[in-house]
Amino acid sequence: MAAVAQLTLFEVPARALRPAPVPPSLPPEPSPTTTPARKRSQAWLALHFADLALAAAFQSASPERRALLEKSAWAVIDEDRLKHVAACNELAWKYGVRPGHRMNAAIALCGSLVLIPRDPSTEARLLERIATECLKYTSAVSMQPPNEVLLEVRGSLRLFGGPAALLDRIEADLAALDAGLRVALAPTARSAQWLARTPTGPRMCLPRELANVLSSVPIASLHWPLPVELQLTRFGITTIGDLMRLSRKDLARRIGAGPVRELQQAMGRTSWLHRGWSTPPSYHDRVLLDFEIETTTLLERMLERPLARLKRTLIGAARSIDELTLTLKHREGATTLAIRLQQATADTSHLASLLHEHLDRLVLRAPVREVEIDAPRLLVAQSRNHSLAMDPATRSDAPNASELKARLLDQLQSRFGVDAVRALSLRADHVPERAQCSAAPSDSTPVLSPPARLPRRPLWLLREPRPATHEYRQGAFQIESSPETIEAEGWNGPSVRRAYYCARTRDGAECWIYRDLSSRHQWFVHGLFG
Amino acid sequence: MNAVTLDDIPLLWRAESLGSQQSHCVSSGYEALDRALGGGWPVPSLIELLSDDQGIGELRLLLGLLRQRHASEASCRRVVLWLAPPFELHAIALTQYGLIPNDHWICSVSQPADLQWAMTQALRSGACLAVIGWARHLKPAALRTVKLAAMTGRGVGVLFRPMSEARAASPATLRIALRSNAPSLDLSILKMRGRRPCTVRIDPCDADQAGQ
Repeated sequence: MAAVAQLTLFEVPARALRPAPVPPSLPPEPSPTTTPARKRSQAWLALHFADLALAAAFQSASPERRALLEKSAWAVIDEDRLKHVAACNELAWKYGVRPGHRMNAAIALCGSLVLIPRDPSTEARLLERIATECLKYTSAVSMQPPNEVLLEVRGSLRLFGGPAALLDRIEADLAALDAGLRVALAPTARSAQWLARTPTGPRMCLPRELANVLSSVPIASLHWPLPVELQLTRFGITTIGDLMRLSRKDLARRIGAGPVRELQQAMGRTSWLHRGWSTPPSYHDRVLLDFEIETTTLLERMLERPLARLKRTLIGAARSIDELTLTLKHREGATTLAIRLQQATADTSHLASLLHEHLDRLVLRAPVREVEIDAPRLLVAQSRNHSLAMDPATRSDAPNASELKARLLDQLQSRFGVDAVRALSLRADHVPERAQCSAAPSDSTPVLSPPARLPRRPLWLLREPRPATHEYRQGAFQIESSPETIEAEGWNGPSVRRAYYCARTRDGAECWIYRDLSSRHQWFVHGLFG
Repeated sequence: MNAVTLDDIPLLWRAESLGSQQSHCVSSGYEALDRALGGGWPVPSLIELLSDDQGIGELRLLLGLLRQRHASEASCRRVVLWLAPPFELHAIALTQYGLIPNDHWICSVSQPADLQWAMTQALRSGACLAVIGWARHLKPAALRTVKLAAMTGRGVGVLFRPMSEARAASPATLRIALRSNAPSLDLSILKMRGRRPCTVRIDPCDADQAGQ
């Protein structure tokens, strides 16, 4: 899912913090200040999920197991040789279990510790879901595995009511996840990432304070490789401020170029290239039900929230869907409902009404335990300007007519089946019953025009010509026109030789009758002049 | 830029509309009938046609209604939905009368409840110029729902029902009983909003000359 058409985000260097005084003796260098001045300053927001492993493990557990986990001490165990604790919940923390302990040590500290193996793919999926959710704050989202998401929010600050309001809102929106979220806003992506990793640091940093704020960040919270961290501690360096006082070249020689580059990136002296996250090409959602559902009415109620989630994703990413699959999982087996739309839409209320029709017809063969919602394709939505007047008035807008037709067709097809609605079209054939066909309505049907000088034809055509030889002999028909002979050789179907007349029956109905010239002069009624 | 006038908003009614009829009319193509209906078929509305026979000119009666889009909505064609028609529609005949067969959707429904649902949805959606259905037993409440849907979606619902339903009460805007009197057709207008019941005789063959 990660191999998506991605946009690449370039980070532009932030404003020069302190223009270095140029010694008058040196020839003036080409000044770099002109280029950044033209570029817009950026505001990066980092989301750091300290307990992503815990949240992912908890979310993928079954409802019964969740109830158990809420009450007991539990930890997520890395699948390496020594089985280190990757994360543990608060109760386990109270017993003295810490991330990084070996499994045996953790069990020694807390005998009742519940151990869950770590699943990196679940965590990656959860992070993807978070990144997709974040698309509603900005379109420049970058995933930093294993547990961080970076957003460029310079353009969204005013919309969300300022930096503090935006941070509050993100914290509130993601609080339900309970994944140890820390957010930080800074002028560069790297500094925001570092501040988010520092539990004691400020959550906001203005461009002019960047050097000050960073200098108090402890090295230990940067998640640098352990040898580098130890080496720096040996030098007596504990904060970024200490690090910044050293010569860059010497530092690179001692601890490697990587950390030095990161420091430059944090200060905005070099740019950091990100991979942008865009919406995945498909949508998948899974709902574990807390109890088994036996009625479709209840099921419909349960689907309201996943549909709202789908709508948020679609609107946030400016996407629409033209197909939705609902898989209802039973204890054994599953029921699949597929909805195909005539036109792609992001309007889940329309989807809900179609689902209602499908569920209305459905007889559940067993209670439902789990629901999966899949949309195989997310298409780029065509945005449309809505008129300001109230909704029903927009129905008279010309561009909406085809959409209304498509929706009506969806509704009828979801209740009566795909083949229930047919549109008429003409075919080039002389025989009346072969001269028309009916197929599912579409806009692409070619328009044929019939011969101009045909005699009058009836609006009603009988599905099968009705034999009427007996009635004819009794004088039930009064012929009112001269015959029209229709002959066709058997290219597609039996050959036909008929003489058609307009006739009136005794009770006043006007019929279209014919005499079959090929087989013993039988009479048939073929249509009615309705 | 779409200008929306207050008349376009179906949920809005003016107090003065209680006194006189504000609704729009579409000429039926028959002079006598237009006179009796005060201008033509009322739009939006629910029209009930009561008849026991087919082939007496009952569809030709409605041609004026089905042709109206050429004048008003050239860019977007609304569809005509036929619900449970007793026979097949003849596409060549439709073109002879100036209609486009592709705009005519046919849906076969068996249950009265399904028919009422489909008619309500189609009328409410606003995608249909007219919805024409054949029904035997429908409760007044169901008819009322259909009529409200027609008012919301600004379409015309046409219901063909047997003559025996003439005595039952109905909320329809217009009720006409059709009787063949070969070669002409007797229309007794049982109910018309804002007008008196009366009887009109028309000749369905007038439509043939007009269409060709």
